[in-house]
Amino acid sequence: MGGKRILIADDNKQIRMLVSATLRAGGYELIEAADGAEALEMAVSERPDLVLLDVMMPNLDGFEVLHFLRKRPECAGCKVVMLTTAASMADMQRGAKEGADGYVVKPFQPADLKSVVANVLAAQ
Amino acid sequence: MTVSDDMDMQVYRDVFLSESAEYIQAIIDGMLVLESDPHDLEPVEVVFRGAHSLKGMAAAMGYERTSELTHKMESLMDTVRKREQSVDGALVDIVLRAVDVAKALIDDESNGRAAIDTSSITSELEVRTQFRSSVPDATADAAAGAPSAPAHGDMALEPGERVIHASVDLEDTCVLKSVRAYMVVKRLSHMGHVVDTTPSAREIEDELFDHTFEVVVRTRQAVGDVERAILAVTEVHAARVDEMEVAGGDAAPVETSVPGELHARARTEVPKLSETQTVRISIGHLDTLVDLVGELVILRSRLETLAGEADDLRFTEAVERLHAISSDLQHEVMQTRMVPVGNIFNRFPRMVRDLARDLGKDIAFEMDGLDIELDRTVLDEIGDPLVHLLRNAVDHGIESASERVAADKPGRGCVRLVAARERDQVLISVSDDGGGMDPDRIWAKAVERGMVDPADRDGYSADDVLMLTCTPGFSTADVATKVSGRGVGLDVVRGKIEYLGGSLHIRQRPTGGTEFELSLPLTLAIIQALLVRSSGQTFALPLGAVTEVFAPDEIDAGSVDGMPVVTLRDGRIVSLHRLDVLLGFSDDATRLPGPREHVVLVETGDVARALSVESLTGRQEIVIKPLSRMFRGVRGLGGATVLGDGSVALILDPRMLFSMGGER
Repeated sequence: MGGKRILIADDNKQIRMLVSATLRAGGYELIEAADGAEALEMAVSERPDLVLLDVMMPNLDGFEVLHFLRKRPECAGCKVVMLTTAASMADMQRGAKEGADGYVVKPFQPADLKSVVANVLAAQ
Repeated sequence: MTVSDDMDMQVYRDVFLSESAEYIQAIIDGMLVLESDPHDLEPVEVVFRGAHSLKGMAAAMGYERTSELTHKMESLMDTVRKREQSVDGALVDIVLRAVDVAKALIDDESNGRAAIDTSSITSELEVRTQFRSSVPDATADAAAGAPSAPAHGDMALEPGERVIHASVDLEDTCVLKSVRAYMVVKRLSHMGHVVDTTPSAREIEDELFDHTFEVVVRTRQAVGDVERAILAVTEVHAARVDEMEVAGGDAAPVETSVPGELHARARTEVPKLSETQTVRISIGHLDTLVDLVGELVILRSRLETLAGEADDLRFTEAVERLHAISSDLQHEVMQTRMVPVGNIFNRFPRMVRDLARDLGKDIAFEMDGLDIELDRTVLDEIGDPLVHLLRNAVDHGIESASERVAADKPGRGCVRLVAARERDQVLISVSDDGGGMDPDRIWAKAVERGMVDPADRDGYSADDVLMLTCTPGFSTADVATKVSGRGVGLDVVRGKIEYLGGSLHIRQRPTGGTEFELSLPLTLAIIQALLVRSSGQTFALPLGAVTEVFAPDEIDAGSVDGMPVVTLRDGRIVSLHRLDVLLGFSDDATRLPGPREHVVLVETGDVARALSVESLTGRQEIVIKPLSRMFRGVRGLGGATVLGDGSVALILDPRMLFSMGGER
């Protein structure tokens, strides 16, 4: 499943680095965005196969990004995985409503991240 | 249809009924928030989604009329959501009435009936949905480049606020126009209230505009700050920002331009219950579980007794382990019966609002402590008493606006409903900032009814006099109004609370007004008890009422006017009662405790009394079993329990116990 392009959007640089390192090791191509607006710009211009979206971000939060992403024809096939903090059922419900494909709950293990990403990319 | 299909349908129906109740409550809460703050966009969304979800669920169940009605509600809220019309009292009213009909309709349809007529409310909803087209189109004005205050009912400016109109131009090359515009609106909404956008928010989201859009915002910020905030968004090419003229005449609250405006408003704050992850369980299962745990606790006591007799270390250890585990189990099971008081409080804002409206009063209703938990059985029972106390507060407690103004008080009255936890009790208080109760008038009435001796006036504190209103047959309201005074008085309220093992206090608030405070036990089914012996029998005394225990050599007993008393460690002197006398096994009330007897200090309400018993046999958790019908009339007994040795002990009811011997 190599060669797929993944966008990680998180305002926390350490998380971006951790996610990038983990997923690059899995054979994916990684691009990074530091806030919601940048994430949306890159999603439209770079056409990643999957976007990992942090919920709490400046400018636009993860759900707002997801909401607009789902309206963009050029992002039609793009999968979205939300990065939520533990125990936020409200986040998951909102994500489900807006059409997220998966969740990774922070803090997460690299192995969990890899398996969620692989599963979401494999699903039709 | 097969049997299993029927059962499935039944299950779906139950799920539908309980979920629809939640959506209905969410809609009511949302509308009440909207009524107090018509600019808040979040409740609009909540109400819209609530109606939308109800519609979908009702359609899935085949409840066509419910589905149609909620569809109409959804359409109306959609116009608000799209800012095509604004929220006012009349709109809140229509939606609230529609919710009431929806509630009745669900009941109707789920029982296969067709008794409810929805035609009038649906046509009202339709008319109001169309209402937007009959108001001058504010967005058209703004689009025509003629900034003027739109005819929104919500334009009453607060001091220091201004209305700012911004025309924003995005760069030609901008790819994410909708996102940029959304970010501008979002920024402005953080600086104040976004009153209007052109095109509508929905159209902006769907990118149905060229590269110019307009925003009207109500804010305390300066024009320059608003402009800077807009220009800080990427790909904004230019912004023309100016303050809109709000002419003198138009600046007055424009609310009168809307038909059916509310005159009396109950401003309501509805705090949210914290979101928790839950599973629905039928009450029947829970009750069975509690019963089984009760049996387990009884069996455990029996095993502990046997282990004590067997003198086998392994046996004792195993029983101790059983004790620990069953205690945890018991705690958890009792916990499942605990329900946040918010579950019954949440219907009160609506009730208070409607009452205030009917009475033409202006009342703010505040609630606090919604997450405080109470045993479900207790909670189910206190709904009616609370309704009564709240009705009283609104009807009799809060004065009319003119009386309030004359008394130099704010015209808007305040009623508060607060729950708090205090050790093993939950306190619920209903208070108002009204004129308060008049002790002299109450006293005069009590004398007139022959309830008290006029000569005793000095023996009653002001609060004691207030408590007289809880005596059966007492009513101070000279005229039974529509709201309260329907023959159910405070005596019924007090009776219910005491039946639940709680107590009711009435207090004058130092700041004016009255406070009713209910103290309620956390749970009813299993309690800690002190086991005492008297006349050769064991009795269980709820530990909640026991404040101190005296060994024979610690008792400082004496007589005052021939009646036995005990002097406490702190010097207080309290009356001493013999349990055997109270229970009618002996009639020598004046005898002091013998050399082997113990004394237990029992406190109920604010009164402490000493109780002398033959001996103390221990302290244990007991499961309260109701007494059979035969014993129901016996005052002073609260139930029965099974002890470790398999024998039965009667549970004493400390509140009623001392009224049995016929002495004070």
